[in-house]
Amino acid sequence: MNADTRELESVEPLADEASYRAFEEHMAAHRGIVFKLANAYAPTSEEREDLAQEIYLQLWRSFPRYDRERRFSTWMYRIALNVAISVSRRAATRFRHTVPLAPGTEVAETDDDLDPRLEALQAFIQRLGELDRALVLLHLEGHGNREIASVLGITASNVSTKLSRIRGRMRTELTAAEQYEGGT
Amino acid sequence: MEFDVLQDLWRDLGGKAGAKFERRLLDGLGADHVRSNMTRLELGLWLELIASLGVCFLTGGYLFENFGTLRYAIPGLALHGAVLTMVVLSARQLYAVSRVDYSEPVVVIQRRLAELRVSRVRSEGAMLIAAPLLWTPLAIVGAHGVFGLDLYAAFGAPWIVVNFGLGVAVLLLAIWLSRRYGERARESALARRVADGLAGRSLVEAQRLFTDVDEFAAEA
Repeated sequence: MNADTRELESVEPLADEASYRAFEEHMAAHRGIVFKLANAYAPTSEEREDLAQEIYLQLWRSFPRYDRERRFSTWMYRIALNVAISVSRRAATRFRHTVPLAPGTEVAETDDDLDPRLEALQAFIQRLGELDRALVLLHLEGHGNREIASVLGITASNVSTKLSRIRGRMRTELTAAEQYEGGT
Repeated sequence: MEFDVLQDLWRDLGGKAGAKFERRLLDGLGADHVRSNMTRLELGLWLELIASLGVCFLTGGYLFENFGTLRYAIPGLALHGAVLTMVVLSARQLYAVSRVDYSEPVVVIQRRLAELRVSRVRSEGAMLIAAPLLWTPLAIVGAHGVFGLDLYAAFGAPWIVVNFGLGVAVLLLAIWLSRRYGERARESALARRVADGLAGRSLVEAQRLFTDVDEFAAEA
C-alpha cells in the first residue's frame, strides 16, 4: 500500500458502512482500553488526544486485514501498543531536541476524584520502560501469560519471570508511597 | 497493597469519561485532518526519492556528456555518486516502512522501527558530512552545466584546492563544536538535531532502542 492510498483512506474511511459498523462493535466490546493506553503513554492531555487518535486511525486502517479467526483483543493490543510505544519514543526524541518538561507536568487524565491507590499505580506505570509498561497494562487488564506473550512476541515463561519482578517492585514502591501518604 | 484490588480499580479506570473520549475518536475517523505520522514519514521519503531521482538524472546526463574531460568528470562523478547513494537510502527506507505491519508482535515491530530509525539517522549523518565536502564539486558542475562557466579557468586550480580544504576544515570544526557545545543548543530544535547528528549522539540514541528491545526479548 502506498502513501497516496493511505491518504485516501484517512479522508474517506467511512465509505464501507458495514465494515465501519463491525469495527464499531468490536471497539465497543473493548471500550476504555485506548483511553487507558493513551493515559499510560502520553504525559499531557494534548499528546494523549493525538496518541489516541493515532491508535484509532491505525486500527481502522488495519481493520480490513484483520483475520476474523483470531482474537480481536490480541490484534487490537498489538496495534495499539505498537503505535503507543512508537509515538512515545518519537516524542522522547523530539523532547530531547526541545525543552525539558516542567516539574509537576500532569501524569494522567481520568475521571474526577481518582482513588489515591490508582493514582500511585498510574505514577508507577509511567516510571516503567515502554515495553515493561505494555506488559503491566496487559496484566492489569487480566490477560493470561500466553496471550501477553502472543501480543508482545516473547515467551510465556519470560512474561512470567518479568511479571513476578515487576509485581515485587510494584508492591515495594506502592507500599512505600502508601506509608508516606499515611505519615503526612 | 493487594494486586487484585489494584486490578479491580484499574478495570474501572476511565469510566464514562473514557467511553465518551473513545466515542469522539470513533466519530472523528472520517475527518480529513486526521493524518498518521507514518504517512508523513512515507510522504517525506517519497518526496526525497523523487527529488533525488530528478537530480540523479541531471548529474547522470552531465557525467555522460563530460566523461572524457577528467576535470569535469571527477566532480560530476562525486555528485552523481552522492545523489545515487541518496536514492538507494530513500528506497531502502521506503521498503522498510512498507514492511511495518502494526498487527505483528510488539517486539518484532519495535525492532523493525529501531532499524528504520538507525538507517534514517545514518543517512542524515552522511548528508551532513557530505554537504561541506560536496559544495566545491557542486560549484564546478553547476557553473559549467548551467552557465557554461569554467571555474578552473576563472579561478585556477589552487582556488579549487583551497575551497575543498575549507570544506574539510568547516566539517571538522562543526563536528568539534557539536561534540563540545551541542548539548547546549536548546533554543533551536534544528540546531540541536544537526549537532546531535554530527556528534553521533543521534546514532547512539537510535541504537539504544535496539538494545532496549533485545534486552526485553531476552529470557530473564
